[in-house]
Amino acid sequence: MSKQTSIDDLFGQARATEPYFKDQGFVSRVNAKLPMVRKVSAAQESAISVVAAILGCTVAYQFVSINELVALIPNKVTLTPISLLASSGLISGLAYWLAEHKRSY
Amino acid sequence: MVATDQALIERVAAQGCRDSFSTLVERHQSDLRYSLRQMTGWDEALADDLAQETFIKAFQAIASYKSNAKFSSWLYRIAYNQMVSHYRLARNREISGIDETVAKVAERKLGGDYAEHELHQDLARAMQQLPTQQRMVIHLYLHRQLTHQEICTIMQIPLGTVKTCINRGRATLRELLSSWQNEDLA
Repeated sequence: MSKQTSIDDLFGQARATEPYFKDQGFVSRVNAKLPMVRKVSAAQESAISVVAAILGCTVAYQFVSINELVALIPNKVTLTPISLLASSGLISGLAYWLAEHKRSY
Repeated sequence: MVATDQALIERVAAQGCRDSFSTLVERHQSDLRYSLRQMTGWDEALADDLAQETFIKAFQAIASYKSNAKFSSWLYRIAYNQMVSHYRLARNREISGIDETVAKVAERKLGGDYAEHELHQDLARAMQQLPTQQRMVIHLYLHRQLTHQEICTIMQIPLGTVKTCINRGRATLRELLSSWQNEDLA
């Protein structure tokens, strides 16, 4: 018997006597960890958001005049150390959240 | 009538049917858990954790499954990736001194049913001496009897690498399992 055949025979023996592992709760453990299935697809979700936004804008348009909204836009911005710190903190936080969110998916 | 794997997969992909997926898990769990025990030096807990993760990943990615491959082959591919990630993380932890050493892990590996699965556990322990890639190739080729081409597809490595892994793996196992060959197969 060649050496190569011996190793192959050993694996053959293992194959022939391979144990069958009973479920023993394995399937239910997998089931419990399965992520929830989305009832609505991503495309449908986006469509619903767009329709809701259009509806919201239409309703808002009835109650608030354009001139009043334009008047709310600031025409002068003053940069202070506190506002700089706050905005850089906000941007860093957002960047961190995006990076983490992307990694976990 | 028993539903085929393909029919079940289509149901899972289209409707997210958990019952169909449970049937798939039930059908393939034993083979996958055995293979992972062989890959992990018969560490039952680790093998079952990896098998669990493999099925969860399979569920999440079922839409990307292509029916030209066997479902089991696709599972092996996910399982192999899971295993590689696990050992990479474990190595990093070991280097940084957070985790227990490989020797300590090896000590707790053999379960109480050693006599029952003696050959299988000895094979698993010998396989543990091989690099991860070689171990998987050897298992798929010698135990699961997949073709070179199937192994290339599952592991996404060139044909030459598969052949080299088989030759080197055989040579190493020949030395490690010499006692088995002399006692049982001479």
